[in-house]
Amino acid sequence: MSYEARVGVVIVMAVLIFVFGMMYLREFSFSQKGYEIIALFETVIGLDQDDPVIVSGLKIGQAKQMELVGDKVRVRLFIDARYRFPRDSKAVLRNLTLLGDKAIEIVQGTSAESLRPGDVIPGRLETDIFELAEAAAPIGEDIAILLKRFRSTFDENTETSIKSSLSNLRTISGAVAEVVTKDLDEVESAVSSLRAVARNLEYLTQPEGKSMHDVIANLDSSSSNIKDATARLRLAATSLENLLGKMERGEGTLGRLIQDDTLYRNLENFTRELDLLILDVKQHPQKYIKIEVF
Amino acid sequence: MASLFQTVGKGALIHFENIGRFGILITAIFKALRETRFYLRRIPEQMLWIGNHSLPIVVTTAAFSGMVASVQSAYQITGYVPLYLVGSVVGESMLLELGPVVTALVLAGRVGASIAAELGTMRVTEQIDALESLAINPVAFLVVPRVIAGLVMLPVLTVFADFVGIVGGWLISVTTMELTTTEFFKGFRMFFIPWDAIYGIIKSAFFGVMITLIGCYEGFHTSGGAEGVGRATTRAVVAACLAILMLDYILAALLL
Repeated sequence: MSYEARVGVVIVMAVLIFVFGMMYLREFSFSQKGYEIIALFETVIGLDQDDPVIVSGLKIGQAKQMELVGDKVRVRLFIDARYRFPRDSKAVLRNLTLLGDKAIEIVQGTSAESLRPGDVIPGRLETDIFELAEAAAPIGEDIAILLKRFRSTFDENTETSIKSSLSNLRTISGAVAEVVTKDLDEVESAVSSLRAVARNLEYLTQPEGKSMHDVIANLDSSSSNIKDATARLRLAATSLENLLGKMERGEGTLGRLIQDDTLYRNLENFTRELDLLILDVKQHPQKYIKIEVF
Repeated sequence: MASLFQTVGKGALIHFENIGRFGILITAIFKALRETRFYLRRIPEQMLWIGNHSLPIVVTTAAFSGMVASVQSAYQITGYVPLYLVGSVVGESMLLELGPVVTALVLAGRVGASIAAELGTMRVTEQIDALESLAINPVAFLVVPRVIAGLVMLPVLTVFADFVGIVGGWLISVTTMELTTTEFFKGFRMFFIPWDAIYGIIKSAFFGVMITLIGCYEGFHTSGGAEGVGRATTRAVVAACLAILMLDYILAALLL
C-alpha cells in the first residue's frame, strides 16, 4: 500500500469517528421522521437548541431554531411523527435538573383536532427555583418572627411548666396503665360483652336474621293499620265537626235543644207545677187517693 | 552590576534574535507555498511519519488519560453528586483538554525532536546548503511538507485520542463502578455541545503547526556538530511543550 493510501485510510477513519461520534452524542438519526410546530415564549432563558421536548417525562422531540419575533421568542419544536397532540396544547419550559438543564413539556389540551405541522402553540415558563425562593422569602420572615415570639414565650418558667405538665401526664398515663392492668379481667369481660352485643346486632341486621325481619314486618303491618285508623279518625273528626257546627247553628233537634230555651222553660214550669202537685198530694192525699175496702 | 546588565541584555538579545528568526521562517514558509513542486510529493511521506506512525503511542496515552479521568472524577464525586457525571467529566476533559494537549505533548517529544534532529543533522552536514546550491528552496522542500503534515495529522490523531480516551473512561466506569453505559453517556450528553469537540480539533491543528514549526526552526538553526544537534533536539522539545501549554491558554481564552 502506498504512503498516500495508508494516510488516506487513517484520515477517513478519523473523519468517520468524528462524524458518527457527533451523531451519536447529538442523538441524530437519518431515519428520524417527524413534523415541526412553533411555540411562542415570553422568555426561553436557559433553553438551548436540541434540548428535549417531553410529554409526561418521555422525550418525543427536540427544540430547534429559536428567534426573536417582536417581544416573543419563536421556538421550532421537532416532534416525532408517531405522536399527535390536541390543537389547544401548550408548551411549558421546565427545569429538568437543579443544574439548570431545560426541557419543553407539551401540556396536552382537550381539542378533538390535532396539531398540524407549522401550528403555533402558546408557551410559558415554569416557576423556577429562584421565583420559588422569592415567594418563600416572606414566609421565611414570618417563620423568623414566629420563632422570635416562640423564643420569647418559651422562657425558663414555661419550660418548667411544660416539664411539670409532661410529668403529670406521665403519672396519669402510669395510673391509667395500672388501672387497666388491675381491672384487666373486668375490661376483658366488658369487651367480650360488647363483642357479643355486636355479634347479636350483626345477626339482627343480617338479611337472614329472622327476628329482625319479623319485627320489621310487624312494624310494617302496624304502621299500615295506624294509617287506616288515622284515616277513619280523620273522617270521624270531620263528621263531628259538621255535627257541632249544626248544633252551634241551632239546626236539628240537638241544635234546637241547645240554642232554644223554650223547652228549658217548659220543663221548669213543669217541675214547678209538679212540685206544687206533690205538695198538694201530700197535704190532701184523700183528694187524689181513694182507698176503698170492699 | 555592569556584568548583570550585560548578561540580562545578552539573554534578551538572544530571545529577540530567536523571535526574529522565527518570524523570518514563517514568512519564508508563506513565500515557499507557491513552490508546490518542491513539497507536494513529500507531504504524504511526512503525514505517514507524523500521523500513522504516531498512532500507537497516541492511542495508548489517550486510553490511559481517559481511564485516569474516569477514576479520579469518580473519586471526587461524593455525596449528592450523581455518579453519572463521570461520563461528563471524562467526555468533556477528553474533548477539550486531554485529547488535544496530551496528543500534542506526545508528538512534541516524538515528532518535534525527530524533525529537529533530522534537519539539524542536515544543517551541520551542510545538506541544506547543498539544496540551496541546487536551486532547491530548502524551506519549501523540508519545512512546508512537515508543517502541512502537522497541520493535517494532529487533528486526525486528536480524533483518535478523543475516541480511545472516551472508550477507556467508559470501560473503566462500567467495569469498576456502579455505572451503566446508558448512565455514562447520559452524563456525557448532559454537558456536551458540538463546539467542544470542534474546539479541540481546531486547537490540535494549531499545536500541529507549532510543533513542526519549532522542530524545523531548531533544526534549521543548528550549529556545533553532533553536540549542537543534541542541544537543538532538546530545545525543540522543551520549546514545543512550552508553546503548546501557552497556546492552550491563549486559544481557550479566545475561543471558549
